[in-house]
Amino acid sequence: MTRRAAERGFLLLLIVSAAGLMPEALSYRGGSQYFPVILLAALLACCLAALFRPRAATPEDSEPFFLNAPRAALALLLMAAYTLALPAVGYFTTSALLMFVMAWVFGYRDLKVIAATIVGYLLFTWLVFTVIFERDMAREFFMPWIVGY
Amino acid sequence: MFDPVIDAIPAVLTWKSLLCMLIGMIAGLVIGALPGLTVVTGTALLIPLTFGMEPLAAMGLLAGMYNGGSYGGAITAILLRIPGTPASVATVFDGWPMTQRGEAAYALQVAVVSGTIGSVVSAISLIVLSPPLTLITLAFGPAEYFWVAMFGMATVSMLLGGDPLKGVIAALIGLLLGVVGQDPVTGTERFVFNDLELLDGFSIVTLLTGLYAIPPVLLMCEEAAKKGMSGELLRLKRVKSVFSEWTRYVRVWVRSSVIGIIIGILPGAGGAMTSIIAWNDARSTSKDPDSYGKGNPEGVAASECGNGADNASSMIPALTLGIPGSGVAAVILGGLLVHGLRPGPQLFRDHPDVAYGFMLQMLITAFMLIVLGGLLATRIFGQVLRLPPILLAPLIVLTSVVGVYGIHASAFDVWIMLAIGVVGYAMDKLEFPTAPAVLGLLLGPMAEGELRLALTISMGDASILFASLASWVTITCTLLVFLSPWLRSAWQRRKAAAG
Repeated sequence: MTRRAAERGFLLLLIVSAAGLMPEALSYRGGSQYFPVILLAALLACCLAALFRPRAATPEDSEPFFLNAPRAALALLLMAAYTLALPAVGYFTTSALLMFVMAWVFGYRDLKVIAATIVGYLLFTWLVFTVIFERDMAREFFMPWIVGY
Repeated sequence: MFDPVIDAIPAVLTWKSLLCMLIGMIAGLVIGALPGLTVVTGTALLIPLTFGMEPLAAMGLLAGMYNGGSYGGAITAILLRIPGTPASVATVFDGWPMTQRGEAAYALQVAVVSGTIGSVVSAISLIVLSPPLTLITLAFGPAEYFWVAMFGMATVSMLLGGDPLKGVIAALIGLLLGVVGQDPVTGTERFVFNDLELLDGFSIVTLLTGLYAIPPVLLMCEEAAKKGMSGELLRLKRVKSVFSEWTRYVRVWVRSSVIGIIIGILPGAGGAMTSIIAWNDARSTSKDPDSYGKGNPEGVAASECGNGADNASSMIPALTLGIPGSGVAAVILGGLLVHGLRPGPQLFRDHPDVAYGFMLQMLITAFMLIVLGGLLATRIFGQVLRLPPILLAPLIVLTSVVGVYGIHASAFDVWIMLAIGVVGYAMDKLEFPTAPAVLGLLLGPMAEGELRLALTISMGDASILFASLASWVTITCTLLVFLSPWLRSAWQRRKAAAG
């Protein structure tokens, strides 16, 4: 996909979103509708203007949008899987898995460095956020077996 | 005038505040040095982590990040010819040729001393100029604040980049994201779609983290670079001292500091522009302009001093009017709002410890830079640069999640962060500037709220918006700022036609 095609797709997506949200904004009452309606109308107008404005093609237009589309998709997929697993599996377990899997699938094979990074980062996070700041993190799935509740 | 500053000193010098400044500074040095990660990304990453912290400790973290990050970019600019941040582009011009001549250590020393001087002068300007400005804003009511918000929105025209239409679209996206949630006046649910998690609107933290932290992760994964910096480059040895040659740099330091402060105060004008203008000024006023770009240490001094000088000064309009002078200032403004602190006179009146404390933290972190940005520290913190980017990518995701998940202990916020991250990635690639979106997000609710408050007070009479001198002054400034790109290009066309 070229950058120009991606730009058109992005603008179209914005146009469809703005047009789709307009009936919802118009349904508000008591003055609540004015600001969102004005903004949606302005967004529609600007996106249409950007989509149909006449302009000379630039060399950048024909450049590919993605440096490597499969890798970008894989990264997104891994992040989505991580977010899905996070509440059920726990922060530290999913984080260790994400670090390992992300490094491994993108071709990094030095296990010693990966392991050291995982241990160092998780130790730092545990010390700073769990111990010092008492931050609520997603609970580890195995904790009930250890502490019994 | 300086009593509140003196009163804030004990709170700033507590161990918690000092520790936060130190951590922020170290994190800033590392983030700034990592190519692809900017100070804005670092600040956006830190804000969610400040939840639950005392406001002053949180601001210390951000002050450290700002000053540390803006210098950190010089490390890779000098050692690798890769500007760590856009603001260190001009440092490459002379820093890299110095490295090739074997003077990397000296170039880094010139950079850190110049950056410190610029940052210190800038922090002093923040302390001196902010209080008088807040006195002026005491005369402001809802109508005037509406126009101030409009003025802030008009500065978007200066943040638009090469394509004004794309900038306006970005600003509108930000404004619309700010609308989601309950209407502050009538309580009407807007774009909530019966989802309770959207009732309070999007968290600024989630949006900022998504917009700035996720796009570089996706880029790093696309590139999948498996090699970090070579350890050899970090074996730096001191050969001479910048302090023994200080007279050589005084002229550059003075001029670059003034340039940095002025550009920093102008809304939307800071960042990369400052260091390039400072470098150009140093070259054009030098007795030996041809040596610039070929390893003249004065070029490094000008770039880094100008870069440091626009840091604290960009917070002057942010703290007094709620209008950020740069992208980083916009994100720090978001950090203030997260802690329930609204910029303007009420911040100075109700939370003087935070307002003046933050100014002092900008000053203290500027001084910290000379210790932590030195050669020994560069050797220690620079070790992170040896990590391959593909290992850094998950670390950024995980740090973002620590903060964002902690807001409501809910994965919903993480999903929003990812979705906004994808939008930010597309905007980056398609050259839609993200700064107007942030400004729209921050100023949209303010503009709408103040307008409706003013109209409620006047029983719907719109003339209240034009009833005071302060309103008219702000309207004039708004028009001037909004039209400035067009006025500038018209003036340039006329100049070109004449000459």
